Amino acid sequence: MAIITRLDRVLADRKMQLNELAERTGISNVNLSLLKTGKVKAVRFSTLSTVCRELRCQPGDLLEYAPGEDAQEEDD
Amino acid sequence: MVKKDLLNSKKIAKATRIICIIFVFAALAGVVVFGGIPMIGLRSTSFDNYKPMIDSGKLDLLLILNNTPAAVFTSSEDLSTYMAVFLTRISACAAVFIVVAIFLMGLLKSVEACEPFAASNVKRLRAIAVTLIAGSVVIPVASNLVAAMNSVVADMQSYSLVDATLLLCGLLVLVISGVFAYGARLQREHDQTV
Repeated sequence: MAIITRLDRVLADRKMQLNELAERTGISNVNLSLLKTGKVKAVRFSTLSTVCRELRCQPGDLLEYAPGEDAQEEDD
Repeated sequence: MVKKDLLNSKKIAKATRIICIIFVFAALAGVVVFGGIPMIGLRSTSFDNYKPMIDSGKLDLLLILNNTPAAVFTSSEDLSTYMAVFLTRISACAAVFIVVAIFLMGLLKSVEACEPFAASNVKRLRAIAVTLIAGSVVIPVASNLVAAMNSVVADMQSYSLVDATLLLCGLLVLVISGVFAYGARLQREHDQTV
């Protein structure tokens, strides 16, 4: 997947644990963990909005596009 | 949202699953009672004992399925071959029904668990479709093969190679399995969306 999530980096900057973010956002630990490890196929805007609100960040802080990954996927 | 939509379906699925279990046992009992027992009785009793029953019309219930007048049977070979055809037909039908019911119960259980578009349901539906399509050929061919052994019974058989109703049902279920495959893909994408 060409989109990489930087949730772990933002959590570290805010000194927040995943459990705490789960409690604040109402999103399950499992889903946040999947988001953190990049094992999700899609993210709803509502989820992105909630996470950005609690972490006081921009969507661009959480998501990064890596073109190399895209090319590798095409080759596969 | 999904669970609310499936609430009514869950109740119907549970009731249908219980009915399926009852019908499976009824199918097995039917083969034994209406096929096996008369078959054993015919082989151990001479035709003379059955002739009064045929003449008085007491055996018409068994023969009514083919709209066959009992008086056409003049020997125990005729009657036992007819019973063999009947037993073959109901055994084949019962076998198809039981296989379909087993897969259907698995599907209904997943509906009760609010997972109607699980990948396993696509396989179950395909298995049901294959069973119905195979049954549409096996049931008439098997009963006609047995009927061919006796000219009296053979004259009464409508020789068809395919049961069109079963074939159509099987093809419909095959189409539905394709729809469920698409549904399973959507479900997978939904599950992987946070």
